[in-house]
Amino acid sequence: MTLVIGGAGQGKLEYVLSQLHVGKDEVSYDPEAAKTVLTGLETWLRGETEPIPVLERLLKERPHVVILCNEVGSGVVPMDRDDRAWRERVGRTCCTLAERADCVIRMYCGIPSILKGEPEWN
Amino acid sequence: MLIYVSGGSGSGKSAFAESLVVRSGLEHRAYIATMVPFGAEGQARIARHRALRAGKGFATIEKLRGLADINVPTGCAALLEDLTNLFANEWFGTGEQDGDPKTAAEHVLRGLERLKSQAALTVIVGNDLFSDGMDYDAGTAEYLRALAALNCAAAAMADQVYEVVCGIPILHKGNPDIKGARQP
Repeated sequence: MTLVIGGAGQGKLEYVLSQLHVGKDEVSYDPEAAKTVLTGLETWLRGETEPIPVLERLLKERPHVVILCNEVGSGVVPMDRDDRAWRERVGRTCCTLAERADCVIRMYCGIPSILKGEPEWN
Repeated sequence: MLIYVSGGSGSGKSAFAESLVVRSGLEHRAYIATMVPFGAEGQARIARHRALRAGKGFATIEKLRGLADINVPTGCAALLEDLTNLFANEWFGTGEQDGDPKTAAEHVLRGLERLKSQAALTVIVGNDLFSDGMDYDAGTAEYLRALAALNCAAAAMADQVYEVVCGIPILHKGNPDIKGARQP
């Protein structure tokens, strides 16, 4: 599995699609329906408080899946309790995924930095 | 040796900071706790950090403010968690009195100097609060500016600066050649 993180609008999806030579029909927003690319993990995590078992199933079925998630933890602590819990959940889920990932890439202004491993498409 | 470790919420910065202390091989380990335990959420946060530290041989020193007169064992490894709480406590008080940002930052930096002079290894945990692109009221904006300046000052003092991203440390300053530190 490859994990691609970065702030909003940093070019994560464009980069991944261009590297994989696939179109948006391979992109899913739901881990239970994911094929090649799962994006918007942070949005899915809004409604999922126990994400790890679902993601474990995905990794078992699709060991080469590319997962994209926005970084959301580098701001002021949210006023709302659910927002705080969600923000923390996004961070912890990404820590777990990064540990499991063969490769972790961070996108910054459209530029990829490899934080772990080697991209499978190299 | 002073190491500054920062990252966003849930980035794994605490676990990494602890690993720096543990892998330093220094026998005496002091954990300097700064958090005022507000409500159930604060208690849960403290409990989580305690569980993370359990069995790693840390002696906990509660220092909600007044770091400038702290005493830790000479030659120990000290872990300060975290700069954000400490600064807020120095500035706004812990209930009994109020301060101002300039004095609060000076107190914190004096405290860091003192820690650095006593401990063989000091690891400071900071927080990245500066990238959500939101507009805040004047008070919050002033707090953010002052905290960011303090973080920069701490990083300037530090021999090594790490940003932790989903559990992976990124070295921004210094050489990872001390025992315990590693390159990403």
